[in-house]
Amino acid sequence: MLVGHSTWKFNQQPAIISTGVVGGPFEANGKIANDFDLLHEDLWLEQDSFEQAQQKMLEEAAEIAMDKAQISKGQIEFFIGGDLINQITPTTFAAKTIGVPYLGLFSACATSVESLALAASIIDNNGANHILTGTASHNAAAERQFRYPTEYGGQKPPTAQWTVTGSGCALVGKSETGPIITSATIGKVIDMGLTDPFNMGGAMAPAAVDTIIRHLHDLKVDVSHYDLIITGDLGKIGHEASFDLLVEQNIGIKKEQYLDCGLLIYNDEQPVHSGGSGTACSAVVTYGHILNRMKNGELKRVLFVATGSLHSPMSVQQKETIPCIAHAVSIEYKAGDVT
Amino acid sequence: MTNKKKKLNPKAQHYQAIQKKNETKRPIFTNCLKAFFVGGFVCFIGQLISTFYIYFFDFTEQTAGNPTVATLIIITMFLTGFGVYDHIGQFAGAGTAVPVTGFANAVISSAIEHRTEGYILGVGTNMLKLAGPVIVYGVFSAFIIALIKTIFSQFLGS
Amino acid sequence: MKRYKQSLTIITLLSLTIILGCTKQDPTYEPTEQQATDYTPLTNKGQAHQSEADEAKQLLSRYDEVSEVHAINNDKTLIVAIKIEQGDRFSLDHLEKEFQEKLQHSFPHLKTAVSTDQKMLFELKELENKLANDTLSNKTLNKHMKKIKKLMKEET
Repeated sequence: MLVGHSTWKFNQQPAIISTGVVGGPFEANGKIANDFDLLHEDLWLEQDSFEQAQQKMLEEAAEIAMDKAQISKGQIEFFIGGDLINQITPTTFAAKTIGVPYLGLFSACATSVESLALAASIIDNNGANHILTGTASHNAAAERQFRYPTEYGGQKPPTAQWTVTGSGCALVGKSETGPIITSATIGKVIDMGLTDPFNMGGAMAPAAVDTIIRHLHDLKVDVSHYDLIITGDLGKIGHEASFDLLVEQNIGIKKEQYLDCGLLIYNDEQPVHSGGSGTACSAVVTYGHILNRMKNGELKRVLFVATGSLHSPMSVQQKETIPCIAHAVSIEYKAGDVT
Repeated sequence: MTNKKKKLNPKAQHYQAIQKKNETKRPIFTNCLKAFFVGGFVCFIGQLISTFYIYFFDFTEQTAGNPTVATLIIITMFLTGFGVYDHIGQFAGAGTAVPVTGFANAVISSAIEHRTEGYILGVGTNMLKLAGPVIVYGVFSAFIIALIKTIFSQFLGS
Repeated sequence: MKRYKQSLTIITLLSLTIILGCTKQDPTYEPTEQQATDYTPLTNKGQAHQSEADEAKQLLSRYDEVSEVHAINNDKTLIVAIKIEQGDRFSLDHLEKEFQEKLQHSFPHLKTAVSTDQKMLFELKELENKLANDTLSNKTLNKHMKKIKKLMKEET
């Protein structure tokens, strides 16, 4: 059901029935390594290319999610997913392996929430019973495409971020208990004229703020309605800049209730500059760490806002600005017996 | 390419001010110092290699340049291949990028990266992806300087 | 305003570089009466045919700009290697040419060659040591000198 201008409120209780969270070697040394279902020792995963490694992680995460929920491929109607690589080929090849009707998406690092929002909406409208959503990213594959070869000795500025190597899948279906998706707000493309591709956090912050404000406005709720507002990968700069913007809006947001996945995933000693990024960043942190905290009873209502910067290497070379987007879903935990 | 300096609307200007305040500034002075010392060290190694070739082989100061550069490139190749060079580069910045080691690293890292696309279209095409501008503009500016020198010498009759 | 400041800085730096680079005029060099640089005289070692080389060394060592000098000669050629003071290295080519002319003038019956190259310095020093120890035959000397002449001609 549409409420306000661009928010869906879900009545039929589409929920995240199970998740699969996979990570790479860097993530294994991070702060939330224990919240991963599977961690890999090396970046190649015994594949011939980084892109194939990314595909394999997505397949693994999907399989883990399906195993946990005891749901087979035959019971899933659709697979909605995307990634950062050109023409989202790793996701497509994974979709081939998963063998479920496929809706491919692109919204860079906001893909995880975009797929959740669409899945919840379709299920809420009785368009499906189970939908598998997911995304994956690979540090070397992303660096190769967007920036420089992995072994290139170029100096990255302190505003740069580190693409997460990992995959997060969420299986969505109707449920009485567990993490229920209660609403979703679709983001607008926001562009504040920033051009530095090494400072994506700074570019994405206004998009996150815009979506959060519109969400609260559409649902007519206060920011205190949520125990936690977690952004996808704003990183240090984006997190601070967006918090400043939110404070300006006078909504009464508190520092403790505003976190960022990119800042949660890695240790301070790891050379990630401004924090983590990539489609998998928001997915692995939320589907693993945050959902675990909800299951523990620590958090009841969370607003999950994934942010994406929608530039391409060519658009940057052509001196275009960096357009960004942020999608939001609200998740509410109903206690009960959930895997 | 048109130099369009898009006029930012006030909202964008306001945000960019906030963003700038939060942006971690690059430590330019420290970076310059690091680049200076690491770059100097690379040149020092180069001089050692050069002197080595002069004393142990039949190279003069004039001709020792070639094997010196080749040796530095081979060293860079090993450092890049073993995954060490990018860490040095992150620390040193221009210190390793400006000497021939930077050029070698650009070519070698691109060649390694694109192996998955085959040797001709992958490695062959992409090897000079980063180093291409160095070659193009290096040759071009050498041509221009030579032209200017020739014209001048004709006019001044030196 | 920022762009104006930038261009001004660049122009100032460029002009400074050009001015500083063009100040030193090429003076004519004169030998001084002060402390002459040491060299290895070989004539009194019984190698009479190194007298031209010794003379050349004596001549060049009087110059302030020369910090080290080595020379070898045979019937037809005289090869001299000099090391120039660091500060005077800016006019290296000019010094080399001038000394070459002076030596050719002093020894018109020999073909003279002057080099400031590190390699020549090293090679000639070795040859001088060998001559001083009497371990060099005429044939070997000629062979070495031919090699050194060849090296001097090499360019990148």
